[in-house]
Amino acid sequence: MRLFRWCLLLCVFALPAWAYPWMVKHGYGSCATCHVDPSGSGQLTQYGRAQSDILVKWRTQPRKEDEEVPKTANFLWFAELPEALNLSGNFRYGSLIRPASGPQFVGGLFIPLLMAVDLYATVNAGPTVWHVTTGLGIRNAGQAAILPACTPGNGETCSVQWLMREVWGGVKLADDAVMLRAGRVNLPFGLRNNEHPSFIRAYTRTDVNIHQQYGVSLSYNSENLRGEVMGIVGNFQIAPDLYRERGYSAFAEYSFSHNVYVGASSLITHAGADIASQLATTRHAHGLFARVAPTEKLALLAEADFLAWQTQGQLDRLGFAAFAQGDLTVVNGLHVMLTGEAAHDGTATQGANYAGWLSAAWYFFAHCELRIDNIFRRKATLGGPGQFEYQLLLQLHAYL
Amino acid sequence: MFRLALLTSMLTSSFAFAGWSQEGDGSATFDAKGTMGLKIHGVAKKVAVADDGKNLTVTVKISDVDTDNGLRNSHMAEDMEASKFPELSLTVPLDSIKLADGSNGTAKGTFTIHGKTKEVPFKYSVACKGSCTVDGSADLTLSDFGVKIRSYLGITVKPDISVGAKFTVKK
Repeated sequence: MRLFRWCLLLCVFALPAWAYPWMVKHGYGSCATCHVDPSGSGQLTQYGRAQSDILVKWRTQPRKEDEEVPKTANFLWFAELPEALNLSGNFRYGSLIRPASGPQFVGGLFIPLLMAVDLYATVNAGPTVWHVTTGLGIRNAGQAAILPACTPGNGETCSVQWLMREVWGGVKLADDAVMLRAGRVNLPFGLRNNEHPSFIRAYTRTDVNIHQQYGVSLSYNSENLRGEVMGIVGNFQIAPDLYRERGYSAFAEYSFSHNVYVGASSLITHAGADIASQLATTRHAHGLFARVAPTEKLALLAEADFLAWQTQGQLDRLGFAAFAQGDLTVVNGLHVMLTGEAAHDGTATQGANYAGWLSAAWYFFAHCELRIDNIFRRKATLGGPGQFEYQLLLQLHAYL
Repeated sequence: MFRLALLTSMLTSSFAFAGWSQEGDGSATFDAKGTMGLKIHGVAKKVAVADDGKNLTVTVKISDVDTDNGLRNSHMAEDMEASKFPELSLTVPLDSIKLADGSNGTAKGTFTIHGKTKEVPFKYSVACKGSCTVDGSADLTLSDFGVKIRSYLGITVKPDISVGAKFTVKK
């Protein structure tokens, strides 16, 4: 039972992402300039590495205007790679402290978490791009595992697994504004926020941790409009085929000014057996999201999604997921975040799930981050007042 | 007769310099675009406005333009050869614009950037309450002024930019 709890917690708190939608504070509304994935998150381009050093890293002295980007921005903090080859790695380790009962801190549970040990490789050959990630994971990462394969939902414990979250090939067209990709790709939907256990990512199954799908996607990035539409043919890293969701996922975001971005997302998939309910289910998620930077120090992120689950012979379930976050740069390299979220999965639980996060992130060295999250949650239950819990999450993140 | 002519000339000259004078610092904006949806927004929190009796000239120092990225500011200054050409300016004939409350429209002015000049149309609007606040914008192509923009780590800024200026003047 205790092992199961550990696995569950690892599942909930693996945060391998490297995506900062708050970069709108610095006028970076398009993710494609800094990330290999044109819709953001994951591996940085050379330009992205440089901007991370210039705009994200903490400094004790102000940066000189003509100071070039140091070698610490390179792969492994020193290696200069040929232009065609982009290598990097993602290491995230943390500790979760959860009170055993009640809100008291003392007597709580201390859980070490190995969240991500991934390597990224991208080869740029003319207009084509070839990208793969590989790493190790534990049971929670079953949907992204290559070996050993796990059948979801039947209680298998797979222990350590070899993962491949992303693998795709693409071609850039129209002066790099368009990218056509095929392979295992992050689902284009909503904010690509770091907090993948957030309701908007978990309920829509669109996080960048394990919810990639195989398919074909077309992305577009221009000055005022960006978006991506993907035809989903299923996750071929799970079996049998009955569990594979097929359909589409898409988003489009328009920039009304250099600091106001508003977007819409839509997803419909169908699986012969949903990994949670084991029933043939058509899943809908449709919503709006926004990124606003009222000042150079503050970014406001918001997303609200309507959710529906259609299962033959049963009443449709209707739900929602909503998220709002304020990200304040206290000093360059030190961020404080306040997040509120709510969701309902359309079951008979009383009221919605709620959560509030009070977080801080310190980017203390090139591509290194220390993060602390205070998470307060109300979990809706059947016929009861709901369960309240508090968790403290500490993380060390290094991006090689 | 000669004295009268001299006096008239001096008075005319004096009236010319007593034309529009600037109130406050004003501001200027610069919006550029790059590959893969990159947008750059630069702000100068200071512009200089001068009236010589015939033209209104708005001048911005390149060193005052901040794009929220020190290295980019530095690259911009290098690409525009700010050490040789530290300012950019727009000169507008006073008789081509109407500085009165509610007036707006399109006029032509001469931009001087990177040591080169070019006549470019711009839009403007005026709001007066005692003093007059002028808000103007224009689309420029930096390559027309001989500015070569570098590619930096795979990202290239396009030569077409939008510039805007807002300032207050009074008579």
